[in-house]
Amino acid sequence: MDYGVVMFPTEYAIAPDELAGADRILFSEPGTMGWRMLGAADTRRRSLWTTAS
Amino acid sequence: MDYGVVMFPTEYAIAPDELARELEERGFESVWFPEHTHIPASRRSPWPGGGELPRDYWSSYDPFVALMVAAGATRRLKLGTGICLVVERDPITTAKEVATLDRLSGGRVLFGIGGGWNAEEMEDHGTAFKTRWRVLRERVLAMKEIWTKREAEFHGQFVRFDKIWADPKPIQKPHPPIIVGGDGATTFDRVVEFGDGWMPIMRPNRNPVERIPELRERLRKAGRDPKSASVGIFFAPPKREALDTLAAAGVSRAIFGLPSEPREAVLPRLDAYAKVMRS
Repeated sequence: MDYGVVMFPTEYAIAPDELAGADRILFSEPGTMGWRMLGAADTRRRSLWTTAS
Repeated sequence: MDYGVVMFPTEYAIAPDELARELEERGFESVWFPEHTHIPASRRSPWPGGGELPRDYWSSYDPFVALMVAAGATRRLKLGTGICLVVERDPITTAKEVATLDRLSGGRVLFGIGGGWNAEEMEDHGTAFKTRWRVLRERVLAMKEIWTKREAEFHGQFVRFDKIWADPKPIQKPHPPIIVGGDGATTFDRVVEFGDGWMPIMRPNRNPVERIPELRERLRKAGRDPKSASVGIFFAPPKREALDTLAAAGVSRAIFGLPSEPREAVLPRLDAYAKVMRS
């Protein structure tokens, strides 16, 4: 199975280049990461790393 | 004087990100990528450069995508379209691309625009050659509305939309500099109405700097500061004496031409340009 995420890239979200570099996160929680990344769009970097840890 | 280079970014040339890094390391101000979405195979419109049209014209990467790659590889280098063929583009989509690039690059966009010369190319995009300047004008004015208004609307002959929401807005305020290309009879109409700069091509038989006083006068008569439109020269001669002459005439940016070739051919040329730049 391949896993991806979808997110509106906006000025108030994690930057696209930073998001793209987070691929190891995808492997830590593949089943839920898409939803959590969408949540991260509102809360930026800290939440992204928190949800991945 | 600021210095930049223009190159067709192609699959057979040095990559845009590598070129951008090499330019920034050498102290150049800007990189400029041209645009041709395609070239109709009929080849009816003669190339202003004369002779056979080089392959680069139909091989070039999309300028905004290539400039984004350049932006990601650099911190200070400015990112220019040289030029963007506005008459071949949807204005709402183009406004979005310019604003996105400006946001993601930290406000480094120089929006060079023009009408182009290939009639059948723009006709493939639905723009008749004889209407190109009116189409360009409305699309630029519409983009300015989108960049500066929370709820933009535009009702023209060629561009029409009711109130829209379109973020992001550019970092640069009110928007990235609009730098008008060309050197024709009506070019200054566009610079005066909506331009932040003028960027003609220097050709062997035509020296556009002779028209700078006319531009300043036109700006003054329109109630604008005569210095409010910068002047850059595309394909400036990489020679100190010639550059000093341009600077004395009021040119503030010189853009050198680079062949669309691999790094082995491009980097020595960059070194030579950098030497002239620092002389």
